[in-house]
Amino acid sequence: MIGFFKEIKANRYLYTLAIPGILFLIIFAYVPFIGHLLAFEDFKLSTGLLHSRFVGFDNFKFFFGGRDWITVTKNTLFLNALFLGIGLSFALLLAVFINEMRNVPLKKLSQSFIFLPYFISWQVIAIMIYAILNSSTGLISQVLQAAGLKPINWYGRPELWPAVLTFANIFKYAGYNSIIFLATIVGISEELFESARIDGASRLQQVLHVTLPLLRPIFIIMLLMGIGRIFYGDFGMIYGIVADNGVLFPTTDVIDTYSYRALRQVGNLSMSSAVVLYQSVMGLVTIVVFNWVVRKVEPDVRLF
Amino acid sequence: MRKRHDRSLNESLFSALIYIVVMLFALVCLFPFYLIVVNSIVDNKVLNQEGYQLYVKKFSSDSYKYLFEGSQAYTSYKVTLFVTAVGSLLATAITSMYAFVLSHRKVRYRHILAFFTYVPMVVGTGLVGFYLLVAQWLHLKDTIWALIFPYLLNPFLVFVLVNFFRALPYELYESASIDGANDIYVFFRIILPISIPGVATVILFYALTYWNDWWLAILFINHDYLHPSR
Repeated sequence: MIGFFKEIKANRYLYTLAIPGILFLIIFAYVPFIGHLLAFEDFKLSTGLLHSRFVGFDNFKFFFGGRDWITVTKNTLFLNALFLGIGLSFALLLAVFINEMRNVPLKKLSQSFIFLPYFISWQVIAIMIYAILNSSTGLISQVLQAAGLKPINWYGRPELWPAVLTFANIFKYAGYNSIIFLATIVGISEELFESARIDGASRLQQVLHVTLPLLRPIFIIMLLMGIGRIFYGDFGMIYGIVADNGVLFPTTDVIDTYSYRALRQVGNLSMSSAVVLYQSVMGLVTIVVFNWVVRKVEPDVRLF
Repeated sequence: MRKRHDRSLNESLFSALIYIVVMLFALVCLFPFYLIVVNSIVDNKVLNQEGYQLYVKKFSSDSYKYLFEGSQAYTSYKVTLFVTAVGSLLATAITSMYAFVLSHRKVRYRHILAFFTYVPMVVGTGLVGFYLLVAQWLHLKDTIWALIFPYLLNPFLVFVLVNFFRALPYELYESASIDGANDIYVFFRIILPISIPGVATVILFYALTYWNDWWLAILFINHDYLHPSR
């Protein structure tokens, strides 16, 4: 305890800087945790959060009762792993490539363009996907037919959809993520590149031996942050694109869409709280494990 | 001589590959915008009957007339502009100060603080607790602060900045501290000015968050005059 006060006193200016942030987190991020009480209550608006009847784990039964929760958990993990692995790698590649462009107007232009899809809603993206994939008038079907091949029935083949969704995810978020990598590249001191050039490194070698190693920490951080949310499906995306097309559920139904459908008629806030609690606890366990692994392998870039 | 030739050939191949990949992706990204512009000027009847269009069959400017007639559009944009400007500046200030502390090697509890920051990203709070907090405990309902406060610190952006500050040479702090400057002074006068690329990115992301928000407005605002543009 004495050590605690000593530390605070020694770095009092630094801790002062952190006060607004700490206050914000306590008020806006930790106080609302009280809402998790809902998961164990028979919640009624009339009695409110603090005085509703306590029912233990009853609210979890609807989710864990059947066998579907295994499928949707598996889908959520698999899709998020694809998005994280392929999506982040592509964003990294894009940032490195853009940084290597020597034609400044073209560079600026592409930099703004790749950021645009972030503003497009999933509904619009869903329409684009339909325009490209549908089996009668879709772009791909027409090309295949012109070449004398049989069109692919995308909307009847669930096994193809992890790939489609990964493309959609890259389309929407790659530009957004690459901005973060670009900011880090811009922060790299020019001297490092210069000394590499003096040593005779080609541009490809500069990328491989200067840029990429220096992007490693931020890449790992972004990965860790994604892993913490790996139990949360992208509801807006899946519901926007797949909607209620049951044929595709075996590979595309995620925890969030499943519980949304299950609860749409019932409208029970307590049950949806139970699912969020499940996702939170699992996510927390996962991230603590992964952070521990990173700490062993690479002590400098751990998240916490 | 031969080797040199190979080398320049490799360099131009590398360049060509870069330009092709980036420009192709940029074009793909532009396509939906074309789609939106086209559909905002297509006649509403055609839109209702045939769904989204790939090109303009029948021109109409009705949607824009609707948008600019009536005073709601102007009031709404004023609210959005205010929230975006004030919100993103406040948020960036709080976030960068906080991130600086988390990145500083001198701070013994920085890992505990980082964990404390990270947990809210993973643990969803659910809507009910959040609503009760803002509306009933803080009494922010129907005030402009309900649109600003909830986004003041994004843990994700904190970690982006922490990573940025960590990459700065530590001697910078040391030399300044030896000269007798306190940490707050070092932060504002030395660290912040040389961190422009990172901080600018964070401002941009916060501005986007505030500009695009419609969720907080739906939850907390009932008066028309406070409604932002979305």
